[in-house]
Amino acid sequence: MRQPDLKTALLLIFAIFLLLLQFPLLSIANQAALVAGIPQFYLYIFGVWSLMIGLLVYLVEIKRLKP
Amino acid sequence: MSLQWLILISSLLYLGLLFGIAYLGERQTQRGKSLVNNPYVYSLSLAVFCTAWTYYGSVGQAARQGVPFLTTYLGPTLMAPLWWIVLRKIIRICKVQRITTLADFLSARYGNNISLGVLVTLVCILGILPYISIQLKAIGASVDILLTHSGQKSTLVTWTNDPALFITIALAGFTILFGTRQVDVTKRHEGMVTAIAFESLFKLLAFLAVGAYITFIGFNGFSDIFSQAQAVPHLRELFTLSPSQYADWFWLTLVSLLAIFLLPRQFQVAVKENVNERHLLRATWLFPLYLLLINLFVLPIALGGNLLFPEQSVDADTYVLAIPQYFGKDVLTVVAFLGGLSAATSMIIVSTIALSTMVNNNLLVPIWLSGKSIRELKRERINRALFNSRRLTIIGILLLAYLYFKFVSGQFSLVSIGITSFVAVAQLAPCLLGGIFWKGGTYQGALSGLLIGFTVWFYTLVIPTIVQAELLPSHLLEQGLLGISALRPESLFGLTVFSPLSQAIFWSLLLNTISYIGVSLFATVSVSERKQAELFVDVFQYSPSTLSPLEGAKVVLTADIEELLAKFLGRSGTRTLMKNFYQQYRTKPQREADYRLVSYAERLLAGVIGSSSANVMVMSVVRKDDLLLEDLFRVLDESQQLVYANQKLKQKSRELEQLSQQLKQANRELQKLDYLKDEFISTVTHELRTPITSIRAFCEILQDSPELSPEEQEQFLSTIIKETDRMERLINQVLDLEKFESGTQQLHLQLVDINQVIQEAITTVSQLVKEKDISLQVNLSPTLPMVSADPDRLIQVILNLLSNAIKFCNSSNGYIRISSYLVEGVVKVNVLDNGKGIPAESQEMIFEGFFQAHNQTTKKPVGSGLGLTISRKIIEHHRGKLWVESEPEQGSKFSFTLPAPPIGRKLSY
Amino acid sequence: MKKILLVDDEPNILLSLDFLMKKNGFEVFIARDGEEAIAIAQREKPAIVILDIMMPKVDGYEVCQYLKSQSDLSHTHVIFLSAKSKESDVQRGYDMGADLYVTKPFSTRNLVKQVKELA
Repeated sequence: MRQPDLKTALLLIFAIFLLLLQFPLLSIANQAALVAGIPQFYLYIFGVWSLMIGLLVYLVEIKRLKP
Repeated sequence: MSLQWLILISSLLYLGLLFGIAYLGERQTQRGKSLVNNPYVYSLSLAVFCTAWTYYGSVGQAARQGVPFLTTYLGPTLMAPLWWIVLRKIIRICKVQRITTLADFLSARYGNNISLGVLVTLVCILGILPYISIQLKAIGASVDILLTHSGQKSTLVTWTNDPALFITIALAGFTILFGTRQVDVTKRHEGMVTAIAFESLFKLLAFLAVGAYITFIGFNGFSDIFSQAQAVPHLRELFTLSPSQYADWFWLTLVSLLAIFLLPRQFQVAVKENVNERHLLRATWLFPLYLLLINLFVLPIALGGNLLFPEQSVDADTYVLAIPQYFGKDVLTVVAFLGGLSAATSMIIVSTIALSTMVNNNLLVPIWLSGKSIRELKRERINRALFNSRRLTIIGILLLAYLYFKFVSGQFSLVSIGITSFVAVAQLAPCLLGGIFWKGGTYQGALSGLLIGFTVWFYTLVIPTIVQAELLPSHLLEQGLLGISALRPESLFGLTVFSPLSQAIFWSLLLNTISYIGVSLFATVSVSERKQAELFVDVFQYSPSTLSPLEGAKVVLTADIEELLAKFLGRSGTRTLMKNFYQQYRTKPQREADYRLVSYAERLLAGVIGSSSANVMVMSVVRKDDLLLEDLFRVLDESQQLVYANQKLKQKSRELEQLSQQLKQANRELQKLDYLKDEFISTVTHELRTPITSIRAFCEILQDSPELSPEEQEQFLSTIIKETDRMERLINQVLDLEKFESGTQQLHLQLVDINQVIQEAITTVSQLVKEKDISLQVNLSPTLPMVSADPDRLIQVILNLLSNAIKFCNSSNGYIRISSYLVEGVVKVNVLDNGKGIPAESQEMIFEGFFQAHNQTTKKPVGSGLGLTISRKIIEHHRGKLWVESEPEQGSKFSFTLPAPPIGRKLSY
Repeated sequence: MKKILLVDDEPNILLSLDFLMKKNGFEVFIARDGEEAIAIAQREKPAIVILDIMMPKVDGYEVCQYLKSQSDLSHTHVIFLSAKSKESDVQRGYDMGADLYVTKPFSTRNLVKQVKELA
């Protein structure tokens, strides 16, 4: 597979996570219910946040895309 | 020991530690072992973003509103992936242009215009001063809360009555000591950055410690806090956003996303103090990780506080202190207090340095230099004046912040002032982003965008707070300016679907952007602006040497430039720098300075007095009447040609690379061909040796043996003739093949009845067939079309196939069948024998020259020389195919096809 | 009368050798490939074998190897007579224990002289 260049990958991450962390997708998780003792909404945001950090680590440190 | 003393001593120790770390940072740099040249320190220093607002304010905000506090951190998190695209470009521009502040950056981009620098500086001061002051407020409040709750407020230790003043003075000292060490402000403040990185680490650990204590010891873990809170209706609401909050969520994310690179302190640590652009890459994930960690316990602490102090007896902004104190944990309380102190002080220090540089370069130096002739300036005075004015500015900024805290900010929450600040600096976004990605952005556009954005910001966000402070009448809010309801600050132009905050962000950024773009499109562009636009937007294409050519000035004396530099940088320093210049550009001193020297000088000066003032200073030694536009464009064109030439070069080298790949490939093929040729020659010579051997042997026998009978003589002589024929055949075949290989073989095409050709061939071999007692079956289709072929060549092919068949068919009981027929538009001829057959692996080899391989010593049954090779070549030249199908012991079937012409052609003949 | 075995797949070369050897007083045996050569050698135990190398089925090297491996045949004089004239081929022939390696085309007078010397 062709390696995407770093800029494209980073722009893509920005776009995807902007989408995940804004209305309307955000409204899906916007529930007061507790999941494993944690408010669902809170859990969603921190989950997405961690996922994004993980992806960035993967791109920058592990995959080491050409800048 | 009383808590009061504990706080005092630990504060002193903490500040002492800070000074020590900063000192160590400076020392290590001087020793060449920079602590700052490190992606982790860089990432931590970026966390100066997290101030007392984060440390105390987030918890307060979460306790009151729930999740929206996260937007402040999600914005920067989302921005982090874009750093490599946006921030790296800004860093590069600043490095080549020796820019140190945002105001410098924008004024340099839009033609070194002083008024833009002034405006940006004013925006930043107005936006940031209150922000600094709330840090002081937070420190004061934190001391207050500790002493009030422990009932020690009355003790007469003067500093506790005004801890903010004490901190202000200490920080002024620190900032002056570590922020104004060199004249050239482009030099990094490594001590300061080291201290800031330490503070970031400290506040994170302190906050995590408090959060972990409250969550896991104060309560029974996350689920305990959350489930207790869920039971309380007004706390449960904090878990979610109400539908009306989505807009706020978006706009707040947007402004914090912009703030992370537009806040003067962020610009300072992220851009100016950056050692290596690559550090950005690690910060791209490390910084979001920092933000995530520092936010992990915010909601649990907020909910915990709300649960512990249900009657709102304690200000939510102080939960971080109040809860450990409530549990009677003195040490943890002090750690929490120091964490807050570190969050506040780091922000104050960096903001103050950034602002003071801005104020100096864009307000004070231009004023101070105006009206002075360069000849009047003395170097010692300049240096002293620069140092003093920076120090005074630092003190001035901190003093103003302190006064603001004392008299104004008392009534506002941390968060509201912070957000107001964010929106103010967000106004710089259109002209900054436009400035680095759009060459069309102009000075007029930037100025009008900023003015409008800033005005709207002031009107919609600051006016309401002034009204709240009862300094303005409240009907301004309720009825709008002059009673026009469309001008109500909290719902401008009647926009009521957004909260007052969201509509302020929306209108200010929208109008700002529209007027920036709109005015830019219609504005006239000055030469210097056009040049700067090029250099900013295409920064990665220009080398530093092509940067900042002089404004078309023709005559500048080198001596004047040296004189000017010496005023700011000293004689010996100037001498060294000039030497560097000549080395760097490989030129010799000349009487007249060329544009490179002038721009070099300008960049050096920009580091000391800011870019717009540097430009003014350089222009002062230039003879203005020689200003020639063509010159500048020539320079610009040259540099663009350079870029173009460079691209050409790259393209050329790519092409060359491809070419050499092709050459390599061709060479490999040639080598292969060469090898085959060698093989061929050695095989041919081998084949030739055999008849020569017989010929020679018999010649010698005939010569040496007079006693031979006439019959024997006859036999030997005819053998010699046969072997000579064989040689001749072989030579002809080789020549034939050569012709086909080289493409010089000509076919004499005519319409041929292929059956007739086959009959001719059969006649030729009939004698041989009879002798060998072979049964030959002929099976020719009577309805074959004529084919276009060379009859001599075709008969050669058929003879070759027939003689092979005769040679190799079963020796006792030989059988050969030759057939022709029309199939799928081609004429097909088969020659079948009942010989030993050809093993599959040799079936292609028999068509390749003498097919014995190089090192082979055993002869295969089909050693027919070149016959099949030539036959195949002939058929291929007729656009047909020749192949063999065979199985060992089952005989072989050689077939060839020739394209039959379309029916119509047959009829016409 | 000394026995000599002539091995070649070219009938005309065999014809000339046959004439030459008979003329010089040898009892001549003829083989057209390696297999036949081994069979005749086992049966007749010739003093000298003149061996071509490139032959169908079993090549001359293999015949030579076989002869040298058999105790009752190992003393047989082997003369390679081959169109393969590369030094490596010649060396290989001598390495296999041949007495002589003659390249084609050859001088009948020299060959006869050399064969006589061996005999």
